[in-house]
Order: sequence, then C-alpha cells, then structure tokens
Amino acid sequence: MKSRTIKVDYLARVEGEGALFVKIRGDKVEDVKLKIFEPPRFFEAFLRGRRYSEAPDITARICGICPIAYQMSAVHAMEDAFGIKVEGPLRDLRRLIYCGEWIESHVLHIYMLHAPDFLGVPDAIHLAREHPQIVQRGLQLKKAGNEIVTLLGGREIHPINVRVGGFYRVPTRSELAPLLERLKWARDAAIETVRWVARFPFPEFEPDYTFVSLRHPGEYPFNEGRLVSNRGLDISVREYDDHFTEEHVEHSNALHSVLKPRTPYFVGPLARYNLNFDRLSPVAQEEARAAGLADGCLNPFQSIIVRSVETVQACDEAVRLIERYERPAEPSVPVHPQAARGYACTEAPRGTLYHRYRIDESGTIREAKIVPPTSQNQKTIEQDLWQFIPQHLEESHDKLRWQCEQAIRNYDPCISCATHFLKLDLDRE
Amino acid sequence: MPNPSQPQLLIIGVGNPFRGDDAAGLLAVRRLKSAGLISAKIVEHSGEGASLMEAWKGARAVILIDAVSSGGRPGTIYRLEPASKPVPAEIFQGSTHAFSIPQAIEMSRALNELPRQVIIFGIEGRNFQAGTELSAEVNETLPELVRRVLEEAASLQTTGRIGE
Amino acid sequence: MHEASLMKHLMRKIESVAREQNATRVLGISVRLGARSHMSASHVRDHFAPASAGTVAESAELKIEVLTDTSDPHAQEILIESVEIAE
Repeated sequence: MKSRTIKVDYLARVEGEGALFVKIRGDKVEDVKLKIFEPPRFFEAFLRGRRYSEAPDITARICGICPIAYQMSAVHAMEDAFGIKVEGPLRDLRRLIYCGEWIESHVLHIYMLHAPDFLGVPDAIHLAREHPQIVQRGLQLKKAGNEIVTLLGGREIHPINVRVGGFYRVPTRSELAPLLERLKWARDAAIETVRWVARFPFPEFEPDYTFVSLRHPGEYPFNEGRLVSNRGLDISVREYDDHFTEEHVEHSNALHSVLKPRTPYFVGPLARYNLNFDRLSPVAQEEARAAGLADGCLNPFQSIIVRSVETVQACDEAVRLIERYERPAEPSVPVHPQAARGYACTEAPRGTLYHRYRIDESGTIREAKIVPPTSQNQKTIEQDLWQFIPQHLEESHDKLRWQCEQAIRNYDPCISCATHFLKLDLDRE
Repeated sequence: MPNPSQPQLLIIGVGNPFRGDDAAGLLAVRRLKSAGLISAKIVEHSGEGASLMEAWKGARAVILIDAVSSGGRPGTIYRLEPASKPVPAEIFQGSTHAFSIPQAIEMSRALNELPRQVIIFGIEGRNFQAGTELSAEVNETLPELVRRVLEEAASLQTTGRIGE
Repeated sequence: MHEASLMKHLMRKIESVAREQNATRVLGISVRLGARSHMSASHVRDHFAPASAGTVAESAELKIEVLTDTSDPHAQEILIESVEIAE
C-alpha cells in the first residue's frame, strides 16, 4: 500500500493543565490523581546562560500573584553565592515589600476565592451582591498591599526595582509616610477579617501532617531562617537537596516533592503558623487565640483563619518597619560575582520557595533549580483527598465535586498563573 | 463615579509575555503606544482581577485586549460589550476558580463600579504554553487587531460616548 | 483520568489530520514522550488500542520515542511528530 507521512508536531496535553481524577467504586476510593502544577521548567532553562543580575526580573515573571517571592528567593540565592549580606534599612525594605505581597495574595484568596466556600454562595460576585461592604473591605485591604509593592517594586505587576545587593532606588521617609496611615487602617481591617472568618462553619478534618517552614531566631519567617519541621528536621537551606527530593509517580513520569525517604509534607500558612506561633507579633497572637487557635491549627479548612492572622502580622510588621525607617546612603551593596553555588528559601504566601543556582566566574548562570510551594504540596493534597472523600461518599455527585474543589482550595494552589483550568473528573459507580 | 484623576479613555493590554499567544494583549498595546495615535492612557496588565478593578475604577471608557481560547480559528478577533451581557468566563485564560477578567467585570458590576463603556477585544490564541513563541496566526492578525482598537477608540471619542 | 484525557486529545488531532488529508486509514503514528511526561511508553500503547478502536487509526503502528533530557522546557509534553496515512 502506498503511504504518505504528514508532519504534525502537535503537543497533546491534558485538557487545560490542571486536573483532578477521582475513581470511586461502591464505598471505596480506588484512585486519586492530581495534576495542578506545572513546575517552572521553562524558566529554569531560560535562566541558563543569562547574567546573574537578570534573575530577579526573569523570575518575577513566573507568577502574576507572587512575583516578589520569586525575585526575593533569586536575589537571596545570588547573595548566598557571592557571600553578600544585606542588612539594616535595605533588609527592612525587603521585609516590607514581602509584607505587601503577603497582604495582596492572602486577601485575594481569603475574600475572592475561599470565603464563598463557607458562606454558601457560588463565588465572590454573589458575595459582592449580598455583602458589598465586606467585599469592599477586602478590596481596600488588598489595595494597601498593592501600594507597598508599587512604591518599592517600581511596577505593580512585575516589580523591576529589586536587584542583587539591594534596590535600584530606595524611597525617602516622606515617600513612605502616606503608607503608614493606610497600613494602620489595614491592620484593623485585617483584625476584623480574622473575626469574620473565625465564625465560619468548618468540617472536622485534622490529618497528621508533616509541616515544613523556615524558622528565624527573632522573626516570623519571610526571607531567611533554617528549615524546620514538626518531626525534628532542622537544617540550613544549603542542605535542602540532602533532605528533599522529587519522586517519580507510579505509571507516569510526573514528579512529586517528598521529604526523604518518601514522606509527603505541607508548606504554607498552616505550617508556618504551627512552627512559628511564638514569633508572631502580640496583636497577631492575641487575635489567633481569640479565634480559637491557641493550640495550633491542624485543619486545612481553617487555613483561611491562619491566612487572616498572617495578614494582621504583615500589616503590623509593615507599620513597624515604616516607623523605624531611615533612608540608607546607598540603595545597594557592591556585588562581585564569583564562580559559586547559591541557595535560598523564602516564604512565599503559599509556602516555602526554593531556588538554587550555579554561577560561573563571569557571573553567568550555568544551572537553575526552582521548587515552588504548590509542587511541594501536591502529594499532601492528594493524601487529603484520599482521606476526605470516604467521609463524604453519601453526598451527591455535585456536592462531592464541590467539596473536593474546596479541599484543594485550602492550599491556595497557584492555579491562576500555572494552569488554565482545573478539570475535575469524578468517576463513580 | 467618574474620577477626575482617571483619563477619559483607558486601554488595557492583558497577558503574559512568556506564554505563547498569551502575550497578544501586551503586544497590541505596545504597538498602540509606539504608534502614538490616540490620546488615551495605555497600560499593560497581568490580568489579576482585583487590581484590574482598581485600574479601571472611575474611568469613563475602557478597552481591554486579551488572548482567549474558545476553540475557534486561531487569530479570530472577537468584540464583546459586557455592559449588555455577562462575559463568557470559560474563554479567558484564567481558571474558572481564579479571579480574572470575567470575574472582575461582574464584581465591578455588582459593586456599581463598572465604567459606562467597556469594550473587550479577544483574539483567539493557538497555544499558551510557557516558553513558546507567538503563533503565526496571531502574529499576522495583530495589525488588524490594532486597527480595530484604534477605530473603536476614535468612535468612542467622536460619538461622544465618552463623557456626559 | 489524565491518560484518557490525553489520549482523547491525541486521537482528535490524528482524526483531524486524516480528515484534512482525505485519508481513510492511518497506518502509523510517531509520538515523542518528554522525559517527564505523564505517561510511559507502555502506558501510551495500552491506552491507544481502546482509544483508536473503530477510528481511522485502528491498528495503526505506534512509534514511540522517549526523550531523556529532564531539563528540556517541554520535558512534560507528549508530541505527535507525524502521521502516516494510506494513499
């Protein structure tokens, strides 16, 4: 038979990029497969051969919601490689811009995505119709975070002012001053937010998690510290690859992050809170206690309360940082690239974000590795579903679907930038 | 409420420069800017909904440009007028669980903050994969898209649809 | 299931290529699997048989190349390289 070969070069993918597949037979869950995250492989490849100084701008493009976290992990890793220490007001400004991003990202998730789950409305638009003043509070609170990021970052969406060694330009005291009043208002609004969400009805669900987060001698963790867990892990960030690995998933070539040998683990607000309660500011601690979380929080559905407490923390910290700010003489410290490896973890709103680079003597990036929080949580989310679904098998198909979505939403997964659609496939007989 | 610090006409290009055809909205507004033909405020945006709402709050008229994925022929240009009916959420490159353009439009409407004139130009993309180039179809249609936006802007300005 | 969704996607493309070429039979398909794609070669074969049954591509020969570079930006992808059709 005569034949002809047609060149196609077509990428076949799971429809959209995010998908959850659950297989139920009778009263038994037989399979749970989740693919919600596309790791930033393209960016790792794109960074190779670039100058070390380009990393902050390039990595800021990975995520539209948390650009600061990506560029902060990048600059800290470069500074680790070159033996640079950024201290004093420059370090404070970095914490301040991180506060801004936490406020923006947490408030977006609390008000626009998570709260509707507990209030029996399908989405935030219905919430806005029924409770416009609450939604306005959320929007104004988020805006306070935006203002910090815009002022310090140079541009709201993809900040361009952060550089290895510091900033390109630092603000004067009087430029920061107008933020102070807004942030004091924001701290009150965040406290009201804690009180609001603490009254939501939560399903009972407390798995036995392994929490991992940064821990710092004196601060609630943003940009530095040791990596610790509730199971005795206590390592420097440079030892990350000795303790964490990506494991092949059965029947596929996908990778899941695990704590060696093969323990799924949990990063993000819940982990930070349980491991660093004593590092929260007095006002954040007080609100957390009043919300009933004095003994910690193991229920991922209650992460909305913890996110609100962390928003109080971020507003409070921002107020203190601005009050004590003195403009430094230089916007950055000198940088002398050298052949070295650099490592950094910072606490993105969604959890620990790891960067590792190998730089050559000319300052060119030879290798880049980026492990975002959502890919670290993926295996834990699957485990939650294995445990959660059997408790809700009597629910209707649609209700169960919605509850599965909620169980995923607890983690604030980076769906908005990493995947296009979350497709939920509930196969039940 | 019209806000005096807001321009009469705001043109927002939405997209991500590293995700194939998702860059279309950004590229379109860059062309508009370099052409320098219209008196409007032109901004680039990631599409995150809450800050979009903030961006257009108080503006009289808004033109939004973004790549869409509705299963149509790549390069097709769509014109939507959300003032008269809701925007079909599923065609935009944001998860249905995220908060992007369609949610921002509807929430602005719910809060009575939707500008009087909102026109959305969608251009059908072929691929939105990180690290891919703009597709040939979208690239070829960009000049046409820019022409349509200019026409729309001119008509908004001359027919007095901007202003009271 | 991801595999089923992927395979459906794959079959849709193969059928549309066949239609464009006015082909009534597809004899072979060349597929490249990224080093981190969500399916192994044997998995693709297992799923191809039922998915292609009753289509123009039924019993077509499947050539699968598995790539090894895990740092390739498209390491997670499955690519249909070419389709061989009967004239």
